[in-house]
Amino acid sequence: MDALGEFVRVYQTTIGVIGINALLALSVWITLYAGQLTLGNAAFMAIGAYGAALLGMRLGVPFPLGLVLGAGLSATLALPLGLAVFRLRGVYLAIATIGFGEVVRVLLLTLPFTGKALGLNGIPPLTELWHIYLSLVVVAYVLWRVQGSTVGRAWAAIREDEIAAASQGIAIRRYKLAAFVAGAALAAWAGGLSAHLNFSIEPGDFGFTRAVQILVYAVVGGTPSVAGPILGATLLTALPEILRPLREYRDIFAGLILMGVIIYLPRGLVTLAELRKTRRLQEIGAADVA
Amino acid sequence: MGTPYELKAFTVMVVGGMGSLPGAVLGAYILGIGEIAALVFLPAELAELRDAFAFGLLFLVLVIRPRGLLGHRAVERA
Repeated sequence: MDALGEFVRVYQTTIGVIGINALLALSVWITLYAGQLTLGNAAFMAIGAYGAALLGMRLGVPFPLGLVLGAGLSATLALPLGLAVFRLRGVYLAIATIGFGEVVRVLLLTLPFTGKALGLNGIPPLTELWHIYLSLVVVAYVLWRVQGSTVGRAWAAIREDEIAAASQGIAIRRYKLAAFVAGAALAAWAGGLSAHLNFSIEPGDFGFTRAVQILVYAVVGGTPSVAGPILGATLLTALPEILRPLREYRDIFAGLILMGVIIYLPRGLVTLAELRKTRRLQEIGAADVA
Repeated sequence: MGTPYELKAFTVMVVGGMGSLPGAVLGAYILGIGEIAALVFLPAELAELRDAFAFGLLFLVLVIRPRGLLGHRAVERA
């Protein structure tokens, strides 16, 4: 127990970041599960982070309430955005959400109360590790339960074939919107937690790179199950630490591992035990179907 | 590393209409002139908003005319 306590103390920051990245990966997993590729989650994370930090620092709003308000604000913004962008699909949807992300980032650089390019500093470090991991457990459990519910099956049906789903009487637009708004709220929640973990935030933290990173966590981990994004986020966040002995070569190895996973496990790390099924799916040309 | 340009090229393509060469040229003109116009006519403290202009435009086009300005309507089959 002592050794574990020591380990947690030494790697506190990394462990916290892993949990937050897992939450973010789950936020993008929700829309991926419904078959929609959206890249706006970094922006929603920014809204949650700035929302929680500004409310806490400027208005003295208590930390838990700040988190809830940040997530609420993000969900409120996601609703009209979703109404507009879900006329699009595939790569167009991805681009439109990237566009939204860039607008948010530029606004954070320009608005008078966001600290512009310097960002916000001196955010009180209120996030404890158990906040992050309690959120993660609750979210993972809820999403796991949702998979088997009416909503989860509707999302899966939309992912497999939109037209077939619509002809079965599934209200496609509504279910897509629900996935989008839920993902936005979760990303903002994670953003709020990260702001109070990291002491400072700046607009550059929430750009295009971040959006892609979140997507990579989910895809490398695997989208067929809730465990996938958590596993992906954990491994990819811990990898630079694990590879530390390799010094300057570690980015190369991290890149190689990433490529290996994508080539040999196209359905994600969680499908390691189902290699034969993946092969079979590849043979019939359906490996991209979760 | 070139990401802003990559994103802008993408934007131009979508605004003009994917698969349309004249569309790409038109999109590039609109985006380029619009961005500089934003820089010239907006007050100096809002100059940084020029990047938001590109993506705001992209957003508008996608919402009003998802196939882009000169793009063709894609036929969807079940």
